Amino acid sequence: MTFHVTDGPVSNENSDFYRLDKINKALALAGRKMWRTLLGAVAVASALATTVLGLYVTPKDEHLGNSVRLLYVHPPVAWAALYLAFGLTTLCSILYLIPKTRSPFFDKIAGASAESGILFLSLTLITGSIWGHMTWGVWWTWDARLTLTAVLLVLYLGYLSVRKISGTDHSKAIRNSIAALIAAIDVPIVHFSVIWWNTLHQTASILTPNLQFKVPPSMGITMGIGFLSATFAWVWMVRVRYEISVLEEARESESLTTLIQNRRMERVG
Amino acid sequence: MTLTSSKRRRRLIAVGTVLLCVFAFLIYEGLTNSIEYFKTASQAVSSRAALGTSTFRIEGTVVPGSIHRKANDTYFSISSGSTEVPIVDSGTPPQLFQPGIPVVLVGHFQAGNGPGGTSTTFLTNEIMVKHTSTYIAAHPNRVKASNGTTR
Repeated sequence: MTFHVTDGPVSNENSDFYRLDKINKALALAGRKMWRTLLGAVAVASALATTVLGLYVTPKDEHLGNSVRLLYVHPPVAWAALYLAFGLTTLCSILYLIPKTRSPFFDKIAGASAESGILFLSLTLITGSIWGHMTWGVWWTWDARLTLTAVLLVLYLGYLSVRKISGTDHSKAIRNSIAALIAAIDVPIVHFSVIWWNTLHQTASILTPNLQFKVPPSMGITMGIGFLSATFAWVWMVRVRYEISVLEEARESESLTTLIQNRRMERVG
Repeated sequence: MTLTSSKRRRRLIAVGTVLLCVFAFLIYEGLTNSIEYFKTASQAVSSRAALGTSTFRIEGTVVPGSIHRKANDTYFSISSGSTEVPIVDSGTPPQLFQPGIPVVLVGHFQAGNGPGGTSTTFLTNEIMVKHTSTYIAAHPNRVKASNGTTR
């Protein structure tokens, strides 16, 4: 983190104009706003399309009846949590740990992605629980897939609390990256749990080992749009959260500057 | 003893790697050995003596045509491979319970002897329907087979 204490006119640096200018500069660093809006719009549009297709166009399932419609929600949010969110957190943490690619940008993105991952993983557990109640007949059971997914949530909550531990920017980022890699161990275990152990949870429908597609076409297409929707929503969230962390940093350095300025004024007065 | 920063870093990486391996190993072992979610009907029958009347989860496919109700109990059989296990359910079967689907049951073997040695009748009060990852569009005119299945 860098901030500058200049010897310029004090009143100017405390003015609203100066503050706004600083925030705008920070936002410009985070990227253009238009892309963010477009991403959000696509996410909302595809979510609406999934809702309409999922509720009115696709058929009931022979055995599951209407509860099959959770197929368009539950796998997509799980995909966003496990593979997209925690995948990006892991990738960015590795990139920070490698001295050649080290940049504070990766640490911020890792945190932003993990936060959105927590949201999607919670949604996965909630929708899964509802679906379990409707098909299996129980809200929760301690099979390997469910237990390890609950462990995953705790691991990433732990990661987010590690991020709050104070230190210099660099030491914090190193600590965060190592914590992220520890939490990431559980992701492949969750993925393969349905293959490695006896579980009540079914095996994959789409990402099967031999890429067999075990759903009727209209269901498959709706599911695909559901996946797109979750993906765009996730990208949007990471982007917005990253912008917020840039603003947070800007405010932090700004308030420090203000404090120093105030001290200086005291001495003069 | 003071260590240079590169030595300290190397030691940290070494300790970290060992810890990670232990953590991964524990998760794998713990799940494989203690959290064995269910035994298939044939696994359960072959270890009938060791299981005694202890509570565990058993898995198998509901044998078509085997379901009948008497008083508050539901009687049916589940099969895995060539093994069939007679079931007495004293609870309420879930909505999706039907012939030809895989189920996981929580309960225990009946004490005492049945026809042909130790009883393999399994007493349960909790049925969980194990759905497969195959989805079939509902068709109002689908013909039901004489044994009640829709395949």
